[in-house]
Amino acid sequence: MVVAGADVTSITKWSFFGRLIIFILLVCILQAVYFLFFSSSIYEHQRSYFFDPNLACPQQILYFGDSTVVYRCDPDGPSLFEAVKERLGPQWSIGQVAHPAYSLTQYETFCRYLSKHDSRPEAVIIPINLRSFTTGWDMRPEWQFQRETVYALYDSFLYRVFFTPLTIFKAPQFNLSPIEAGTFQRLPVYKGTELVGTVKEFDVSEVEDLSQQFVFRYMQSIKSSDRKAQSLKCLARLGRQMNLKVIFYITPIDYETGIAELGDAFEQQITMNIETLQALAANEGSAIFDLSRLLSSDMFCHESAHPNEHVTSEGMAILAEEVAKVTRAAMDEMQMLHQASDLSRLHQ
Amino acid sequence: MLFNSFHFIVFFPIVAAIYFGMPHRFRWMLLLVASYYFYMCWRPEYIILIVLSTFVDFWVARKIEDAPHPGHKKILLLISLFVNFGLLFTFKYFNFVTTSLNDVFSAIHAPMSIPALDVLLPVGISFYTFQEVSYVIDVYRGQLPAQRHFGIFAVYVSFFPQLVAGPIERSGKLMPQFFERHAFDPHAAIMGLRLILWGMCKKVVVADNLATVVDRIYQMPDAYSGPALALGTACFAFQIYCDFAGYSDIALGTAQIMGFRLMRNFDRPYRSRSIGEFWQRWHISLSTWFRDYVYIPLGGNRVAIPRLYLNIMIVFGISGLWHGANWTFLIWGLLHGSYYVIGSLTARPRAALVRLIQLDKAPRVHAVLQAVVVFVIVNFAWIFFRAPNVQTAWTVISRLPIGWDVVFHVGWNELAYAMSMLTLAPLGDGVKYGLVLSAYILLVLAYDTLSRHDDWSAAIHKYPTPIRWAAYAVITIAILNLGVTKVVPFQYFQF
Repeated sequence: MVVAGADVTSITKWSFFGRLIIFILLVCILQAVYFLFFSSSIYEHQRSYFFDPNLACPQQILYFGDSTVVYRCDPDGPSLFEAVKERLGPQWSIGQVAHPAYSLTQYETFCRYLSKHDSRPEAVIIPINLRSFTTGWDMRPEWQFQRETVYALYDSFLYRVFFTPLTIFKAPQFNLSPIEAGTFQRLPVYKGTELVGTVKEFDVSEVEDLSQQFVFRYMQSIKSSDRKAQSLKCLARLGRQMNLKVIFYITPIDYETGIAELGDAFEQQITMNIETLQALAANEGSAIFDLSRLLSSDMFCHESAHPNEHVTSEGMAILAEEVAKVTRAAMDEMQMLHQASDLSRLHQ
Repeated sequence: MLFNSFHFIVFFPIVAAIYFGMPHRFRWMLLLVASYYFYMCWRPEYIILIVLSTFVDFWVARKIEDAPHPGHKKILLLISLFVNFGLLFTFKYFNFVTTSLNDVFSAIHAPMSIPALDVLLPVGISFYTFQEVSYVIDVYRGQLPAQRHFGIFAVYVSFFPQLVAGPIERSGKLMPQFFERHAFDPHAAIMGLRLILWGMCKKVVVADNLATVVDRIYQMPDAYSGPALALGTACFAFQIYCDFAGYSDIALGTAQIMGFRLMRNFDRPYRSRSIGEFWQRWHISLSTWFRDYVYIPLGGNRVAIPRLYLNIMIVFGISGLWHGANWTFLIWGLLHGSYYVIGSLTARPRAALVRLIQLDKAPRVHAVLQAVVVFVIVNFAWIFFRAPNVQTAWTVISRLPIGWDVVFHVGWNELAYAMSMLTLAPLGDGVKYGLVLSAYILLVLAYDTLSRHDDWSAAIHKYPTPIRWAAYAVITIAILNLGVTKVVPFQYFQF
């Protein structure tokens, strides 16, 4: 007969530890059961929410992207991804893995995920948004996408079972909110290398001074040690190691307004930043197509007073044509290389 | 370091294992190193404040004991109070005072402005300051001999389970325990683990999830009307309770595993039938501190009635400011003081009314009604506690009467909307998850508030092993899966 509480008073040190170990094992088993049966719907929800099926079963070409790829200035018109897809035609299958605030950090994570799996695309298209290097984007708490990062990097059954507990208890590498809102607000904003204020002063919903917004969004000097610059380097290297064609391009920015607001300094800073990125990529054997000056000011979608990289239907047609052209050339080059290697194998 | 962190889950078993494995005479060193490490995980540089005040109070207490004249003792006491409260004022209240003065200067168009200090509020400064002050006052009063072992005194000040959010322990009770030889006691360990489990459940599952509802509503009170604001405030009442009581449970459990007995800090406060009773059940260690070191020195009950009420208002006002350097906390404290005074003034007419409507013949109904009234007025005061400023609190109060017709005539849409925010699971918007979470939270709150047992560890002890284990397993799985993934710091850390 089990007597209430009787075992507790008579318990010895070793039976305590024995029971503790049994309880921990029991919890592990229950956690696995919970994960497999009860939380399956949540799990599926997670997967579809932050883990695009296009990544798990990639097409020939994967188009990574931010808002420039998914945004429609004309609600009835196509997105950039759709426009590029249409231009590439049925010759190649193409899928997108995009979120309005993804950036090189996430693309690097996704490529690391791809590197661990056999099912891979032949090429990835990566837009580089110059704004994503600034503090206002790079350090914004809600744009860290730690969940995707953790999930992609620790994609095994054991990690999936304990993913939620590890994130709740903020295990190292599993902290999904590494930057607090207050900390973000206090971070510095730079114009070139000169400190001009904090995020709190610049990150405003109503714009009074457009030139300040251009400073906040584009004028920070990009250094090769910046974490997003390092991601770019890593992406180029991963592409080479995986035999994956990585097509980088710089997204167009409202260049004309930037110069009108900030003068030559704007042009000089943007040129310097792009050169830094191109040099980094070149070191790893990759090229970056600079489309930053592709569009005139009237081709940007000025739905808000803030400068942004969203383009009108007209601008999108030009941009899509350029991206498709570059992609087509890259794919043709890949095909020729494949053919050449097949031939050499045949000769051997 | 947070209790509900992977860091602590690794840290504590290591400390406990080394603690029981090493000779007694060295244990204070381990506790001191562990406690300083625990604190330094937040901001290493602020350990200097603890070390400084520890040196000062250790030295002052010894000098007080040795001082031949009462006048000398008083001067030494004042030195200690000046250092302790000086640090507290500098880091906690200076900016509040300067901002308030600058507002006054601005209002009278005086060309003056006092610059603010660019400092962060050191975590737990109010807790350890009060703990040290109580020690020095006890020595001054001759109620306690001065501690001669600096290491033990330093551990008393910084003992990690209760360093950053209490309970505010009395030196006479805690300090002698550091001299006791604690052998590992499986029974104490089980009781401690049960407390930790229950505390984690309250903090991780209930408080953190309720915080998401409360934060949404209090970030934009303009966007909500009465029902949602009332719900948000009620959620905050349980959030702050589960947050703080959860922390206290974990603190008690952690200490208990190592053989230390800390005082209970909460005793089902929302069962209280009067404000006086509420303060005997809520943050007990602070209430008794104010009773012993402020209220009684002011004259306690042995003064004329007007002076008594003034004393009560002073104590509650200081208690409010102890919680934070903001007018909202002062108003919160004064509201509780006025509840107490009004309750005292109306005791006789209320008793007459109860007899008149024959409520005294249904004592249970009477008790429930009293508890509901106390809960409502405590909730009203929580509005000021939660609101970031008086303006926001006023917005909440002014909008409270609006929109109740939606509930009574159109339906429960708005309430349902507010409730649906509970289903905003940390992993997404799964309905099943939301339902499980809501049911679990309600179950925990119902048990914790309505249970006849004031100690869940003792209560569960009465059940057979399979039921106990089933309860442990369900609670553990809930903690591991129903918590929120963003960082929700313990509310009382900021005090």
